Amino acid sequence: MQTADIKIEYDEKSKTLTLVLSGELDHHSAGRLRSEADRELAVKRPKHLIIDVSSVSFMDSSGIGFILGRYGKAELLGATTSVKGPSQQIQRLLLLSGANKLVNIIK
Amino acid sequence: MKNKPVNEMRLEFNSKSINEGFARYAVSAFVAQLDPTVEELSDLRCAVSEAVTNAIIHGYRDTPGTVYITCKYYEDRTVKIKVTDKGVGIEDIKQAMQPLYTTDPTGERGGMGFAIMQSFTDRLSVRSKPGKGTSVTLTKKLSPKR
Repeated sequence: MQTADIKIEYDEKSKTLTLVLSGELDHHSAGRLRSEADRELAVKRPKHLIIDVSSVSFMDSSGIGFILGRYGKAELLGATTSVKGPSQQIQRLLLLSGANKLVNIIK
Repeated sequence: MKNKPVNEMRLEFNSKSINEGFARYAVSAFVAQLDPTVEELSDLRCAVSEAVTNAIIHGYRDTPGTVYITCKYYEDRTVKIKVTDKGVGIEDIKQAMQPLYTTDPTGERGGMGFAIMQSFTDRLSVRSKPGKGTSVTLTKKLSPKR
């Protein structure tokens, strides 16, 4: 079982903040990663936020909540939000939650 | 027609969020005996995760308690997973099951738990008594053995 992890990448030129998530994103891990993600958003104030889930091996509604929560924070900054590399399972959750109407989905 | 289960397991663990992953793994390992498809296993893991998380954050509201899981499967490859807590219970089940209805304190779970459980299983049944607890039963019939 992989605990969830977050890696922060920032491209100054395009003002793009990428949150690279890995492992299992559930209620337990989302709580932990939330504050680090929000701190980066507040400090960097990017124009674009990318949530890279290509290495996320499991996600439930807490993961969707994490994505939507960060989307909400990005919106307040006037930043766009994209979800990168969602698996079939994650795509289903994005569809079921309607999150696919709010965030861009990129491969 | 379901008779006696072919196999059954019971699990009890502390209502700590760190055990959510453990619960998913334990149930996956048990259901794996039936050689499910990747998608079927994925669906059940997610549904179980939702039910267990609900027991922890709503049933027990992060106070100590025990979460109980019973898992059984039948000859016809029907799997039944029951997640029970002896927590606060649900006043109005119909309301709780409305899409996007949430009482989550962080406001970040989105009220999707029941919708996901319903979408990823064949049948969802919820029984609850305020002050006594809640049990959620997930039923899914797996496709024929490959």
